[in-house]
Amino acid sequence: MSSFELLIILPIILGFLGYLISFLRNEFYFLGAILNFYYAIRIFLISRKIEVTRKIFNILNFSVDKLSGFVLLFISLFTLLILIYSIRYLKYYEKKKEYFYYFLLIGAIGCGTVLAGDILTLIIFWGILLSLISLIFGFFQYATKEGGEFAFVKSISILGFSDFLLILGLGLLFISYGNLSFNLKLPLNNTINILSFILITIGCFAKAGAIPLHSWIPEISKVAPAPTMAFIPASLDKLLGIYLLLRISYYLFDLNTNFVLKNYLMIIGSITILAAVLMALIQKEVMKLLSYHTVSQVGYMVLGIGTGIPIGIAGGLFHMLNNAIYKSCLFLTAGQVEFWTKETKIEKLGGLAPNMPITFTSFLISALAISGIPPLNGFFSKWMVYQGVIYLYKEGNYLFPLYLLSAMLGSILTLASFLKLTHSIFLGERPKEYEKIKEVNFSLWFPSALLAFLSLLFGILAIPLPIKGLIYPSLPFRIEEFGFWQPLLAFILIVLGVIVGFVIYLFGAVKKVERKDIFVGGELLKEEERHFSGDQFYSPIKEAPLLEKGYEFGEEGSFDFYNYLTAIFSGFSLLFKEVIDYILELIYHQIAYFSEIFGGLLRKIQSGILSDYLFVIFIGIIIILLILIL
Amino acid sequence: MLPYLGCIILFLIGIYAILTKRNLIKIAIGFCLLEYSVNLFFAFIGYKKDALAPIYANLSQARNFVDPIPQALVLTAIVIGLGTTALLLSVALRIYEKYKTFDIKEIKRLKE
Amino acid sequence: MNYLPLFTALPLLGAFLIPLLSKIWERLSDIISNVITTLLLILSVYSLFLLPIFGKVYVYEIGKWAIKPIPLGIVFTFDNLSLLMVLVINLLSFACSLYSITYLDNYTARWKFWTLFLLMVAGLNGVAITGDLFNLFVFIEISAISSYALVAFGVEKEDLEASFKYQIIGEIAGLTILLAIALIYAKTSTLNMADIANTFAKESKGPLFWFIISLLTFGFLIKSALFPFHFWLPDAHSQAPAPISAMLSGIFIKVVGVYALSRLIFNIFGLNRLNASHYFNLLLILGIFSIVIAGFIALKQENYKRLLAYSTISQVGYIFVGLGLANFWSITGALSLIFAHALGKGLLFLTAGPVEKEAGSLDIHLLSNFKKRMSFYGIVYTLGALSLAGIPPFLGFFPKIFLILGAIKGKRFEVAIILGIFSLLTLAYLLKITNKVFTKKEGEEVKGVSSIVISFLFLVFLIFILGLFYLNYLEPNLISKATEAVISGVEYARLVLIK
Repeated sequence: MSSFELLIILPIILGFLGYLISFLRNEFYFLGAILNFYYAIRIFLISRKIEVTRKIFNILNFSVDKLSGFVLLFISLFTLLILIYSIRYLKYYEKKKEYFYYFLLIGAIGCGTVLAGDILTLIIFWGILLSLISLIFGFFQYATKEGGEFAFVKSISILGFSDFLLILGLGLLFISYGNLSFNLKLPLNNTINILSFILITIGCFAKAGAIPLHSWIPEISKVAPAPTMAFIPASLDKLLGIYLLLRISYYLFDLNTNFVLKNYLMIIGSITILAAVLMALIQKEVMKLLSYHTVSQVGYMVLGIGTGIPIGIAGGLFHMLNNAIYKSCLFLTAGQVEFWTKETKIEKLGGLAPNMPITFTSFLISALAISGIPPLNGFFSKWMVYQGVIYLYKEGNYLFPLYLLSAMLGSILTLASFLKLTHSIFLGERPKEYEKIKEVNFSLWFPSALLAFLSLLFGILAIPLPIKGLIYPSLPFRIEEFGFWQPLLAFILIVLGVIVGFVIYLFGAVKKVERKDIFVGGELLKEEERHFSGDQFYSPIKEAPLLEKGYEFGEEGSFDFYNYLTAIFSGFSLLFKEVIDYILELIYHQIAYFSEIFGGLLRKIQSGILSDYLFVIFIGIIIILLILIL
Repeated sequence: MLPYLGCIILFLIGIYAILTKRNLIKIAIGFCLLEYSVNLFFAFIGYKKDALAPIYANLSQARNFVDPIPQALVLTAIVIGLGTTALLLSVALRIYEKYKTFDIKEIKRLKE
Repeated sequence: MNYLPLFTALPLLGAFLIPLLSKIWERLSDIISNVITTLLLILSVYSLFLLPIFGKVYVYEIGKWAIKPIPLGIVFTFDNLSLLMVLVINLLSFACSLYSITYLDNYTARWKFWTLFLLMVAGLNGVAITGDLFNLFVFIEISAISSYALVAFGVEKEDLEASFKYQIIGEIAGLTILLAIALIYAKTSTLNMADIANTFAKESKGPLFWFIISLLTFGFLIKSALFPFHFWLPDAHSQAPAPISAMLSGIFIKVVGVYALSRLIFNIFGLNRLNASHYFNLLLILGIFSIVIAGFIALKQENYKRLLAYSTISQVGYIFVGLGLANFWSITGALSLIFAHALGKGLLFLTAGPVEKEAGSLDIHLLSNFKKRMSFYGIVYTLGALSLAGIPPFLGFFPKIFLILGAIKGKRFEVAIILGIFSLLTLAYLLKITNKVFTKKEGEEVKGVSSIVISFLFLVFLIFILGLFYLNYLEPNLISKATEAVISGVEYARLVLIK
């Protein structure tokens, strides 16, 4: 047995053992995740040196190169960290043993998906993954809050439909060319290739959550607890979706051979960035807000990959990694807050920073990273994406200012949105009932703190560590150096600035804040009425003339693919039931004897009367005879 | 040609009965007529003019025989028909016990 | 492979033994029939491995009436298509007979049920392996008559009504088929299917030829319940006892309708898209009508089994779309759908049994107010429904994808779109039951009953495992060979007569 099988099989077996004896201990789950991580590191180290392929039972064909090795490592890391977190977080949850088992299975199957070396293997793993995800979502369908059933059905419908299209695209390739491996660089110039490329991208978009297939993420956020959100939409699905998008764009196909498809990706990317961040601004619920940001960040990755410029693609890939890190950190910290307060409404929270210092620090670092504040990692990858977009002008693609504008605007709005979120959860007025809240215990804060630390590390040491070590070797092209940003220098300068500020704060005149009573119309305002929550910060945006309509549409669900589908189906249903029946009735009642039977027949096809059936059947044979003999 | 015409007439009568009669027993009779017409048709196929029955001991010269296979087949078909008719009639009687009517238009609990 | 007659002889033997022996001890009938279905399953799985050794077709001459030089005797021919059908029949009849052991506690007269059941299995197996046209008719009638009786098995008002309607319509189909056989005999003076194929290959295709084909098509479309010949199906399939519904929906209509028709059309009359495109367009259009109309009616159904019955009509539409497109991919899809639908729909109909027993009704409204929880049946139902709707990695996913790919390959993009959209509709109407019946938060849990649970686990296991190994094992070893047998047309006659 090589590391390939062990990587996937061990978590499955140990997870099952853990499931069997879970009334005693949880160690087996840990052990599964740790062994999975161990073998992932081994495969990663092998992949640095050499590309390995391996066939198992003539069915599964695994192969690992630098790109998949690196994605594999992080999937495995996230599985481990979030499992540690959820064991504590869901300690009192009724069905936790099934949950942990499925969780481990998803991690293992996710690893298998990344390792897939040909189309069939990918189809198999992708399909299993979908059913596992539906299982784990199905758990929370009733366990948590209202509207669970709808959220479940909606997410699974969207994911199922788009996976169906993805597999259709892969199947189209399969019947046209046979069982392909993934590094052929087919040109995108004939119908089959283009059609299958588009079909596969749809699957990737739904998995990663790009508009218009994003709506399952905010919906499921109402139902799934924080660790599930941090694992599935925020890290695993991002890694898988964007990995596959990259894989098909520059390994299986060569996106640079088709100008239109490149723009298709970039337009989707830009729209996703802007639309999702605008939706995020007005959310009043922490989890939902975070999930809209998750959607928005996908836009950068799609945009970067769509540029076709090496630096942009590297930026997209780096952003995928960064986003997985800070976004799962954000979900986890939000979960830590919810763990004590049992509250996810923004307006109800506030002032928790002194109670939960570690949580606050992790949250702050991640929030700054997602907003693209130097020297954190989010800034870096966004910067690379911008550069890629700017380089587009060399190719004569004059749409680039639009892409650039939406990307930058998105970044600014993200910052704005996280200012509000940080303010209203950790700063601001603290409600009375939260005064006794303590910091969460180690196994809860450790994963998020580690992720925040990674954000910081990948920001400060961006060039030596992640970029030169992980990103550049993973890509199949040479990437030009860019030298005018020195993260270490910038970091030192910023730290100096902070120290200077702190010194001024210590010794300066701003030390004391004068507190005064507030009067409104001569009345003294009571303490609790002074509470000012952050969720109203951006509500005027909603009333801006142009955006107003857009928000209305958005709130009604008009950007929502699922709603369109249900509308179409119920429309058809109505059409068949009412309109067609009615018209048929009108027509047939006019004609004499025949029409009477016909009308009664088609009004209620299944009339319950045998002679009617027989009559239709005899008309059927007459029609068959006419068609076939004449 | 005439026997074949008789076949077709029998067939049409059967279809008429099945399509227009409301009484379960009459429908069953119509069904039997249909069956007879098909069986009759099958039997006619084997018939040849001035031919002998295909039973011979010593054959000295070439003779015309009727085809024996259709008769064998028709026998089987008749037996099958007997089975279906019996089942049909027994179900019809049971329906009468439950619904107290033989009218097919009254027997419409299953619809839509 | 000279055990071939056992496929019909064993169940016939059982059917005649049961009335005699069950006088001694009634439970003996359970044992006899389950032993026989198990043996049949073993035989058919054994044939899966044995057939490749004998080449593409194995011919068994009954009573040593040699097929050469004059094909006078009756033969059984066993090729890859028959193998597929035999395998499906015996898989499902195994599960259903296992299931019926506990299910029959609801009924009196066990042995009558088992006799009829085994007769039906004998007829179905006979249809799948016979190489003689009249024998085909006889086997169709054996299985049909026993199914009429089984539909009326409960002798309630509705059961009798459904059975009567089913009989009249089904017998019209049977007579039409008999008439067509008479005409074929008049034209070719032979009943051996391979010999008929050879004779027709030499002649031009006049109006009589098309008249025969229309009669056969008419008869078999009624048997397979394609729109507009579907009226008997919702009644019969919803009123039969649960295992019989599963057998009828899962295999009966496919063996007696789809298999027999495609055997005759492709292998005997040698039609294909090149020489008879209007015929295949007819099948295609009727198939699409079935999918659309039955799908929408199913969405509006309020009865558990009636909804499933309409779903069957819709799925049969898919099979006929595959046959109508008549290229390699679409027929692979259609044959895989026969397989997947037999297991999936069988499973769904079987769940109706314990649900009805617990709740006393199959009305979805009443069931949604039923106080107890039925989690196990719910999970089983949902898995089957996901498979039928074509969600990977279950078995039902592959047929749908192959059908769509076949439509794309055949340059019928509109068909591909319809198929894609309506497989979503399938999901919608099937999950309606999950949502309304099986999702209870509280209430007492219903306990599963032993043999019922085993048969469920068997089917679920098959759906999952065959789904995983579909592309690597099932498709290359079974289904694509069967597709080849269909596609190769009158090659069948050459293979049979060369023996």
